[in-house]
Amino acid sequence: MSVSAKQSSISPGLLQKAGFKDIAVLLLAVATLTLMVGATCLGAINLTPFEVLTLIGNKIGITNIAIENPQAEIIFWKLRLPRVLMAVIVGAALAQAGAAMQGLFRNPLAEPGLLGVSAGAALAAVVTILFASWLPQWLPVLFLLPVAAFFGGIIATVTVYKLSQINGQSQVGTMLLAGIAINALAGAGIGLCINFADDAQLRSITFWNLGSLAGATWQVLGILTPIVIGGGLLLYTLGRRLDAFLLGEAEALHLGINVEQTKLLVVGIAAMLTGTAVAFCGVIGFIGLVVPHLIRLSLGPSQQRLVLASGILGGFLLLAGDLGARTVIAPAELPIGILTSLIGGPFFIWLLLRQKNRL
Amino acid sequence: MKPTANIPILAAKQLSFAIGKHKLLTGVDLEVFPGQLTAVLGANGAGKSTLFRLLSGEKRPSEGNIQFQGKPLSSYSPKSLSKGRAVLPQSSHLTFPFTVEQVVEMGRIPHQDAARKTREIVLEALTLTRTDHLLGRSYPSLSGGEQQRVQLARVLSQIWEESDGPRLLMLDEPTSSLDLAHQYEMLQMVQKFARQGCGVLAILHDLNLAAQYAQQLICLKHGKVVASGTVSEVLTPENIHHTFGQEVRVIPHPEMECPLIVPIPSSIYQPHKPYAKA
Repeated sequence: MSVSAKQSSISPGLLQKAGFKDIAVLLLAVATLTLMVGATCLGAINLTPFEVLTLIGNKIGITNIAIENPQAEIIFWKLRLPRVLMAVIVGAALAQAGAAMQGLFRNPLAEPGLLGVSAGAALAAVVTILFASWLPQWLPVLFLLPVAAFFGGIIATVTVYKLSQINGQSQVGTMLLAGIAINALAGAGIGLCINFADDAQLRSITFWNLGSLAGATWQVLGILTPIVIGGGLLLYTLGRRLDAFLLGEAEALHLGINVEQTKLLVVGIAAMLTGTAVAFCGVIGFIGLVVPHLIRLSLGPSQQRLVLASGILGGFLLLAGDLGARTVIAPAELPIGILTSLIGGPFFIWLLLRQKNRL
Repeated sequence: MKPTANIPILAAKQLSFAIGKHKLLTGVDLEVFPGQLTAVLGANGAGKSTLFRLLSGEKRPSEGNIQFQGKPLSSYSPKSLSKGRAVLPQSSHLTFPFTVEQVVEMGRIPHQDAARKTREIVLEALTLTRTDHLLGRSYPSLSGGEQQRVQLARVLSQIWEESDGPRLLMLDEPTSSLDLAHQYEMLQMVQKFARQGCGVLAILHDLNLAAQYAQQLICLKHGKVVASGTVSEVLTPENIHHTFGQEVRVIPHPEMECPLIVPIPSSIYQPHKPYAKA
């Protein structure tokens, strides 16, 4: 069969399109880096971008310029930078988890918060806090939290997935209802824990329900970063498989894809990303819903680019949100979870209306 | 026809499938040869889709065995199967806004070719299925018929190259949401593809489509094969009544060398004799 002249003239166009999208991802990355510098400058005490860049330069030994402001060094290295990195990494984790779950459920409305995965992880984390004093000394809570949250997340994901599958198809209605049920159950569990908690525990537990990036330390970042980068890379390599998975399970199988293994991996990665994010920052909703949607609208649904670009945009948005949360009513702070829900709620309603109009 | 035409690419012997005590298929024999279209016919609930899922490897038979290219189907990994066999399940629900060419390109996932070659095959498959005018369109925005033709382009692109060895195409009711002209057009495309040496197994509903385009026919009823063979052997008024419970006349096609099946309403035509309890 020969290719007609008309067709061959189309192929360069396809090439150019792909190029444009890659440039868009690159620009997004540059914007995120710029915002990161900006966000480290702003706060109760403002630093200048020059001070920030000099501090980094001094640390890695490129520059050796004395900084006039003596507090600048402490503010930057101990407070601002960990928090900014945390916002970017947690935003990336939540957005990638959302992208992965939407692929798994073959449904653009799937999201860790809505489906109760975050709540399941939070319940596991809260139980861990409650029983922390009974744990042996050699087992630090800091490391146990993400592990517990991971298992809480996995249990919630598998439950919702099994409930929403009818004849091999994921049913949207059942999926969202199952999410409501899991959220309610986990909420009840957390409520029960609050009942038995002492004052100190109560303060940490409240933190889960609202979500906050205030707990950012280098130690936490040391745990979060490898997990999020590793999970993101794994998802990226699964990208083509997930594309085929979107056609349907049988279709993916006949394209030579190990469907069961793919499902297992995606459930694991999504729960791991959500679980670790929740373990250290509490429940931050809607990032996983909003971000992959914006990427799909602008760059198309291909999972590989979706995961990469969602990671970057997720980082960007959560960083912007956190910047707002800690500067709008400074020196007090808004919980970031409230802010994301405030933006995410109306977005979700808009999505529902869009789906309704399409049917 | 290819020289390998006498060796079946897909052969099933004494296939049975049961869920609990409920037998869905009993002792089904079937062979698909390269270059031929084998059609499975039968009333709703006769076990066609179950047979299709067994033959595609989605489900394992309770008894019997299936051979693909002379080796047991179960000995293949999904990956090695996907290089020589493409399967189009009945309905694909893709709600994500992939473009038409992205959907077709997924058919090339098993091959991992260079981007340029992939794009050429995708465009050729789009041309063959007459969907090239849909290039750049978002898949969910297409009509049901257009979606089905794009899906056909996808599975054809998967086994596009003859050099990949013996090829098998499996289609589960490929014409279900197509209008009259597109039904015939789709089977013409499939026939064209089969003539290049590809074996085709299709579940079909329309007897006249089967009569015109298939070489081998198999009639299923209550999970058993009630007739199999060439078109003229299988499409007799007796077989059709036995399979579908419908009186028909079989007359020569006015233009082609195949039978034409004309259903007769029971109010006009008295059933000549009641068949074994249906």
